[in-house]
Amino acid sequence: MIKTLRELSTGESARTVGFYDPYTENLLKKFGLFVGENVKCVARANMMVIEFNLMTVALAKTLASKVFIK
Amino acid sequence: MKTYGSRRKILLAGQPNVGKSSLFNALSHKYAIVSNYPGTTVSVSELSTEIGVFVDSPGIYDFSEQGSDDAEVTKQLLQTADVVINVASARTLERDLLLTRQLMQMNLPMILVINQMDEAEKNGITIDDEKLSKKLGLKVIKAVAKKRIGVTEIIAALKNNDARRPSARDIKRTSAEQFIGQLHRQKVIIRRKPPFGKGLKHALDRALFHPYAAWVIALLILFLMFKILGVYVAGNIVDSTVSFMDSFYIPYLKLVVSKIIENELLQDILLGEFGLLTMEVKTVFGILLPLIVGYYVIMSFLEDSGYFPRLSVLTDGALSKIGLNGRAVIPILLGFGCGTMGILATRILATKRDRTIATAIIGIAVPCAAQQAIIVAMLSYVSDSRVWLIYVFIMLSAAFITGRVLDIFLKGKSSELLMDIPPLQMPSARNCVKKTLFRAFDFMREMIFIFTPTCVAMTGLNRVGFLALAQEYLAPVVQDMLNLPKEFANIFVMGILKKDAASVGLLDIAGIGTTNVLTNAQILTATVVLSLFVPCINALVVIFRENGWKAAAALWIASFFISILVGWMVAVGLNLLDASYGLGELK
Ligand SMILES: Nc1nc2c(ncn2[C@@H]2O[C@H](COP(=O)(O)OP(=O)(O)O)[C@@H](O)[C@H]2O)c(=O)[nH]1
Ligand SMILES: [Mg+2]
Repeated sequence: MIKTLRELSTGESARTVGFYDPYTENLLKKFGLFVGENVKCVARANMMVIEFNLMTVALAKTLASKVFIK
Repeated sequence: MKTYGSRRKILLAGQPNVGKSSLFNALSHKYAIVSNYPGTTVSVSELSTEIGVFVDSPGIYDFSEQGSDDAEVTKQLLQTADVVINVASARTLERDLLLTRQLMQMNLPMILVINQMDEAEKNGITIDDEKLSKKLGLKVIKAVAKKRIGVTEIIAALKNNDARRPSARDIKRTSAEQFIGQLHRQKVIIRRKPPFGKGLKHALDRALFHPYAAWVIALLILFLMFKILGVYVAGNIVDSTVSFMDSFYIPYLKLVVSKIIENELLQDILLGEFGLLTMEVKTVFGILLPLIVGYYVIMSFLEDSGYFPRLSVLTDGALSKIGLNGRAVIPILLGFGCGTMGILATRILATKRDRTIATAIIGIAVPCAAQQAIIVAMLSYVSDSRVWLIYVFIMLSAAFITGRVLDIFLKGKSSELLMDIPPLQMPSARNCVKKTLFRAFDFMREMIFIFTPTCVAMTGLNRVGFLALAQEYLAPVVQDMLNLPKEFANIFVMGILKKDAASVGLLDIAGIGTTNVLTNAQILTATVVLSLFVPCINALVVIFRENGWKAAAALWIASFFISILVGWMVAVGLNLLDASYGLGELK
């Protein structure tokens, strides 16, 4: 089932499958987040903190809701 | 080949936080500020050596970044560069190589340095530099800038002219995803261990992201800072430097100098109430320097550890209420060291709107380290802890209201936060010491350049009777509205030029430690007024440069009136409270 990154709860992992629009895709690409990446949610507060590969990135929830995961 | 002076210009370029400045330091012997968060290099350092002029640049994620000052600065630097050293991190190599691909299209001779190789080894990443070199058509050098590993190879490569103009043909044919896919399939980059770690560092990292634990840690750090700075540095060190100056240095100096110099005016300038050798030396070296150094040591330590980006995540919710996002916590914290530094650091914020709000908050409601020291010293004579709470409450409200008002009136929306969180690391003592010395030196230079003329001006104003006049004319404000002694007018006059140093005068007026002439209510009023009072000249110059004269003027005028208005409210409020709670009388 496809969800958005925003719905991932702390400790859960998933694989990215797509982005809402090219803008989001480009923005996240700069930080190394591509389609097919295995992401883990590290924290959720006002924003979300995710880990993938060896990188940790914090992003606004509005942005997280534009990333599709499975 | 383009020339730069007579030497070629070698630009270090790459993503934020990959270690460009560290490498710059290793290649040269000059110091460029290194911190463990993206966006530390806001100004450009240069160093001329026999093989060329090395230039450190601010990090960029992407050249297409619109409206980013850093991208603009770096683009301009690239226009005049002869050779580019593209610095990438082993930790984030896939991502960093995307920028490499963009750089390659600029058609400049280039070398790729993969830094932070020690991290790669720790994390089970293998990088085949030969394959990568073939794939990109570039010389690739592995490095650990922190340990100066790879430095000789880089210098040798530069000497041998190994920096080649890359061919960008292949790049245009493959998309970014295809390219990264190839890197993994062709085993150029192999990531072996599962990426999610364990251990103590890992646990601490988790705690720093935990919604409750992180606040507890933040408060604990704040408390420790207060203990170290307020109690140890201000209480013990400054106390002894001041008593040394008062009982030894100043009397002997006066004795000696007044014998050598007969001229009365010169004596007044050097030894008088605002004397360069007495008051200035005591203020700068006896009081401010120990505090500044103390503050900078703590800041360097925190900066290096990687704590700040985590604090950004924590404070994002609170900051979003005043039109900012969590990233703004870094300039604001640096502003607590020195407003100038904080305002410069607002460049790491994504939009002009964010920068304006953060600058206003720093300019109005963030007292710098020198001021905090005075505030702590003043308030520590007030045993009633309610005074502390009131002070903190007032300053937080001032920051909140400033932010809210601007948030409502400025067009647009705050930018969405997306930020890189670097790994936690043990701060390096060497870097902390170097950074502190570097900043303390900067502070002293600024202080002496601006404070010396200020002191001379004050002596002049005093001699022609202006200060007495100012005291008289400001009496309705100082005495009637704020309920403070009339000498406080001197601090207003001097505060316009150099607020932090002027605040020191408050201690004298209050007779702290000797006569205790002020009541608790007066101390609170005075500290509030001074905390909110106009930014000092240096900060103003920076605001002017960064945001234009309108912003600088607006901020100056606003903080002038806000400080008096709030001071007046405090004075009146405390008077009322006094009737029912006796706050003003508590000793
Ligand atoms: N492990 C490791 N850390 C490094 C190395 N070089 C730099 N760093 C750290 O990486 C962080 C960023 O360094 P800095 O030079 O400010 O990066 P810049 O933003 O690219 O200029 C700092 O915390 C450095 O201590 C290295 O070779 N190995
Ligand atoms: Mg740097």
